[in-house]
Amino acid sequence: MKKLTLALAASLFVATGSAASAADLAAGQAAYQKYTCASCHGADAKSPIMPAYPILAGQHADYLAHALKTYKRGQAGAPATSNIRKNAVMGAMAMQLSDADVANIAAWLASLPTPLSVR
Amino acid sequence: MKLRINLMRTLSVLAVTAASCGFVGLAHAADKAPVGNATAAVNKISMCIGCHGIPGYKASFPEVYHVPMIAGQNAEYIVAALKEYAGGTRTFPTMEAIAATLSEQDMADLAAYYSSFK
Repeated sequence: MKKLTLALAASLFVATGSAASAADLAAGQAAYQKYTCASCHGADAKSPIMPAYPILAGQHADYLAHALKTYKRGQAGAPATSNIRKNAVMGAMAMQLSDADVANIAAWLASLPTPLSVR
Repeated sequence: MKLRINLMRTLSVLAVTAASCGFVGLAHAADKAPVGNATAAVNKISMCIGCHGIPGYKASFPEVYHVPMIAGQNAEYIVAALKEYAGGTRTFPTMEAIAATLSEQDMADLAAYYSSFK
């Protein structure tokens, strides 16, 4: 009985977990469209309009979220010691994003097919 | 007849001028951005692989996060990021210190190397 309860609890946990992450991914894709990220980074997030722009598809989600936060800090005038990026375009874009937007966009981008790898 | 010869002469002078301008333009561009050599980078990646080459490696402050995957990234973006670290518009202590030691040729070579893994 105890085992059954545990199994049920575990399956519930898994189901809730995947439902939550599916919602995040959908919200991330919607936010990627809403904030016109695709106009520079490409609809697949790996075909940027300029080679000086990065491939985002498949990159680590926590790194992508971190990068967006550094643009926010840079735009907000935080000191250089606080790990910032100063970029007129990305600074302005990132300032529009809520913490939830950042997390959702990063999660969706990380889920995409990618040419990136660890070497 | 004379008019036609003059015309031809003018046209050929223009063509030569245009060609040499294009040449100078190319040479100038080459001065600005060195051509990356992926083979040369093999002796320059020792400072990169200690973090970027280790699966699961994380950096911290103020966020804790996986260091980015750079293999397969666009060469031009890699150079742009290194220049930002070297110039102070992108800050992170480790990357600033390393980027400051790299010449433009080093940056181009490393970018050619890492972008070649696509």
